Amino acid sequence: MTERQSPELELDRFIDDLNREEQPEPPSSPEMAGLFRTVRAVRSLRTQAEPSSGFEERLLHRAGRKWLLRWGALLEAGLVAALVVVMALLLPRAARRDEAAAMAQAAARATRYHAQYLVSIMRDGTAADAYEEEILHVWVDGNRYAYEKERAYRTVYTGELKWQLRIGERLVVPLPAVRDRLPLALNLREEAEKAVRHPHRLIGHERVWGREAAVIEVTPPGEEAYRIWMDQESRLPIKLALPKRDGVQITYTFMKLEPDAAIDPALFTYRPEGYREASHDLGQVVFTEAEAEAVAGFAPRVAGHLPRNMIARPGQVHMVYGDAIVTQALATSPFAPAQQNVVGTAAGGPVEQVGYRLRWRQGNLEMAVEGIGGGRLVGLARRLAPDLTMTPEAEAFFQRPEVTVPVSPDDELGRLQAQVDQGHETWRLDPVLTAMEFLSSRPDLRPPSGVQVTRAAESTEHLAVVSLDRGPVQRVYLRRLLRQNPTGIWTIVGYDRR
Amino acid sequence: MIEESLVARAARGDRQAVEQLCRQSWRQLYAFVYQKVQNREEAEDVTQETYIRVLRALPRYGSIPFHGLLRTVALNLIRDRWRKTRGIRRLTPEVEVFPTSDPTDHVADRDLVARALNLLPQDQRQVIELRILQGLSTAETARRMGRTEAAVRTLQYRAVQALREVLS
Repeated sequence: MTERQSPELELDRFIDDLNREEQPEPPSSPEMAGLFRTVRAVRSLRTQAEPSSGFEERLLHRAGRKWLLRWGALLEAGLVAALVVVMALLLPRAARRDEAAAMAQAAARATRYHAQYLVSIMRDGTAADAYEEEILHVWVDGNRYAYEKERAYRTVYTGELKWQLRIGERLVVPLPAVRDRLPLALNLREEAEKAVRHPHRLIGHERVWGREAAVIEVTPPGEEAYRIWMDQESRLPIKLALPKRDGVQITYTFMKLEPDAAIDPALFTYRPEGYREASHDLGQVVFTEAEAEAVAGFAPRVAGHLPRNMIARPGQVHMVYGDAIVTQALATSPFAPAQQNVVGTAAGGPVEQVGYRLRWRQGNLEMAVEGIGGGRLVGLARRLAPDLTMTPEAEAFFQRPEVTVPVSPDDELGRLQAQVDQGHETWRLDPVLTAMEFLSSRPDLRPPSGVQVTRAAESTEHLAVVSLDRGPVQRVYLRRLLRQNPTGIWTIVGYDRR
Repeated sequence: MIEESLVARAARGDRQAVEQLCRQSWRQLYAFVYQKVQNREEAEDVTQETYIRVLRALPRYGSIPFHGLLRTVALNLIRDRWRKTRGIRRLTPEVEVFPTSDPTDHVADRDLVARALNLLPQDQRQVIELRILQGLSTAETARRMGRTEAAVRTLQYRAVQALREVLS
């Protein structure tokens, strides 16, 4: 007779058993069984515990010995039952082939739809950024599409033109007319047909955002298997999970999918009323201070030596110094940084720090230095404003990477970006994945199994710092060198050894 | 990827092939089983038992994809274990300890679990993070949260209940 215990205590003991990696006692009631399942589901977010020391040898010994002793013995009834299930699951059946084929047929018909699309990135471990997500609203009408993020940016593609509306600024920014690669979101047919083309099998059923879905595993030749979910009612693909790599799982899901939705034609209007166009505001490449002054209308301050690149437009000059960019602009309003961001003084006024960016007022110019955290950035700022002082905390923040990684030439980066635009190596869009790929390729830097990786809070859209809790590297520094938006690839620029 | 020739050799009784087959495949199987049972002890037991059964069956079923065979037998073993424990711990003949659904279905969509966690009140989320995700003891969790151990048990019970509601 088992001693009765309170439900709270029973659950507590169950959690303790799992935390000790021991087999728990079974539940005492259906209610408790449900809670146990919930605890196990939560634990699936953790990194799996490695088997105990010597497990492989024990397994080989036991399996090998039993196999020899029982060779030729009759199969146990349970195994026969298991194999019946195996046959049912694994052997090809016309009905199963039909699942993917039906999905492809339904997807081919769905040429106009509105969707709410979720991109989720799940990392092993319990770090604060173990889960990240982005939700987009998507409208597709034949070959043209639009997608919107946080009611702030709307990207529109018509087949001939592509642009981005910056809704808050009422600005239209033209973009190269290249289709985006958002798996599943913009072309249902492509993913469904891919599933039909490659070996695939039905592996079960699950609910996806309230809808019953069939789970199909697809194994392209020479690649790892991935999964696609088909809505049982509409037969449309509604979820795609890429193979897990380096402890990171990327999943694309339609939280809502409305086939044949009415699409407002105004979505595809190039310049909506009240918007201005940014195409003539991109600046001009100049080579000397005098040229910059002629375009900008003021003499920019040069930090000791001429920058590698200089771009000027009326009222503003950008200068590129290796890893850092200096921006100088004629001030048009008082300089009023948020008090919590003030980290020092320069030219008699406050210095503001936001991520890896320093900003201050110098005479009639607003100065900004942005770059990878390092002595070079602060050094540049000091050459522009020799009296610059910062708090010890801010100085420490800008310590340069211990090791600088040479950046590939622009044409090589362009080639990599183009690959990503076409849907290949999309991990380059994620700084953590990019950092892990880099570290894994270097035997001397390779992180240990189960390492926890965090994107540091000071990261911005242009710059990312990835921290690792163990292994030979402590921090990896990355930059978006070509495009400073979510479609831009990340490039490693340095790292700190532990 | 397991070579078919290796499976065929193992099926014919080649001891070295059996060993190689195990070495090449056990990590993947262990990870699969662990995901279901969420503890090392049980995962090791089920993994070992799976090999014993599959290797015995190889001469007859060697043509079936090896990883698929391992997984299916492992799943059946897990189900068997759950059924057995159900029989032992049934309180009365009327009380069904487990629901009729597959007990291994607990491995829910990880996205949904993570999202569901974010829907919980801060203190419930914290207790789950400390106790289940970080694996701290009740005493240590109580110390960090500034509560008694009894209060932590009550809070964690409510948190898991709330999470179950959200997930269902």
